Amino acid sequence: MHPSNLLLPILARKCLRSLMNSNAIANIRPTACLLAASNCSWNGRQEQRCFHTSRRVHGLEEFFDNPENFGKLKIRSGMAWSVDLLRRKSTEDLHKLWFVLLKERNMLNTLEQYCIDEDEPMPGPDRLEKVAESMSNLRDVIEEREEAKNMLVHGTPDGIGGEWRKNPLGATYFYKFKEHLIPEHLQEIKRGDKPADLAYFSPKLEEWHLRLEEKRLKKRGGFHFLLATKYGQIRARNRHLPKKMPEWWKRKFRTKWLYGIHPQMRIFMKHHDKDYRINSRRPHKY
Amino acid sequence: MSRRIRIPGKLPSVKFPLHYEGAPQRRLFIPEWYITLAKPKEKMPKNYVRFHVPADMTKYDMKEYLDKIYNIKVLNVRLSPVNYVRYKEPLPWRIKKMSEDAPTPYQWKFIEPWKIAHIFLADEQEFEFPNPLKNEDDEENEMKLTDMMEAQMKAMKPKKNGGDNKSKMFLENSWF
Repeated sequence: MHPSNLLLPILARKCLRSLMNSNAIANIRPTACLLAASNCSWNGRQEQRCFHTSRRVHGLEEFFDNPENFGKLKIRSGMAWSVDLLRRKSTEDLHKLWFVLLKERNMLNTLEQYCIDEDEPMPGPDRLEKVAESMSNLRDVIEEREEAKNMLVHGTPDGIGGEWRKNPLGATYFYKFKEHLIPEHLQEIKRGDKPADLAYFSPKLEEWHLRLEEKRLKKRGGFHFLLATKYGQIRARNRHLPKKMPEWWKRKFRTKWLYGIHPQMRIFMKHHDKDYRINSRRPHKY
Repeated sequence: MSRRIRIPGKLPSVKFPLHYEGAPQRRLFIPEWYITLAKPKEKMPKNYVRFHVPADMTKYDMKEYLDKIYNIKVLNVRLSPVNYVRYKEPLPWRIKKMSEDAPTPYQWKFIEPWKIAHIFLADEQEFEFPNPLKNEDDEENEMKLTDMMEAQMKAMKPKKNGGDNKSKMFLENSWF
């Protein structure tokens, strides 16, 4: 006796023709109920009583219903497999159930196509929906289990690790590891992705970054605020100076340095910097 | 785990991990391929079977499918794709600069194709497509149209005994 038979549920009397169909499979033992039968009990011996063990000539007959159901206008069927019921099954059971459902679905597809060709109503069209629903539920359950296992083992739902990296423009992104045939330490040419602590900068990009920082600081409010605070500090010591900032003093801060970082003052843009014109706006005069 | 990937704008496909020399054989534990047996209108050899098959299946997939799941031995498999149509859908809004050929904005779309599998069975097997909508046992009880009409006319006629309880209709009370 196959050990797995004892563990699998049997069919109740209310179980349907679909089981008769799946008898002839040599490689799979069809012991899972196609539809949710609440009367299943765990007894291996009774299982053999329900099945007939005659082998069919070839499996193409599995694409059709039980011959007793030919010609019927109405075919009753039970509920679809719900997620709660499927969660109680082991993965082996679910795997077998998947193939039972697959065969049922193929059978219903052939019936549907035949009815479309002959222009007649299909007996029991709701069966297709139920089978599709139960198959999707099955897949959801398997995905749940796999994701849980991956989270415990790898820390990610895919099982694929990743890390945070910086792209050349300085923005951080999450890089997922890709598959490579040659391992990293044997590769001669390293393409693309670098680790996060080494951001890839060319001289052009560095200049771009600094100019961007200058532009940010050159916003009207910040620039004048800095000058005003500086002037305020100077005026606090020398009361004879005027309240309004003199223009000659403002012009003092027009530096010739491109990217000199003054310890007190931050980077100021060159007065006429034609190369750097984002959005092609005129530079301010001050 | 390899799975059939379905993205709305693209054709469905099954993705496997990278293959290297000495790798284990590719396996699909949960195949999401559903096939339909079709009846050809023309007269075909007895050996012949026709399936409608999803587009990502190949000849080898088809052979394995029938072999492993249905235990059908196959001589020959030929697939022919069907219904791969790309069409332009006109849109009411603007996306980008349209070329001179198409003044109205459009978007490329396609109808998902499927394949017809022409299969010949091995080992001198024969297959005849049965009629799933006709029961052979019921043929004897089939009444002719004229008989049915007569039976209907009889039922329509008013009955002579009006006070017969048995002829009256009673609603079944299944509560008692």
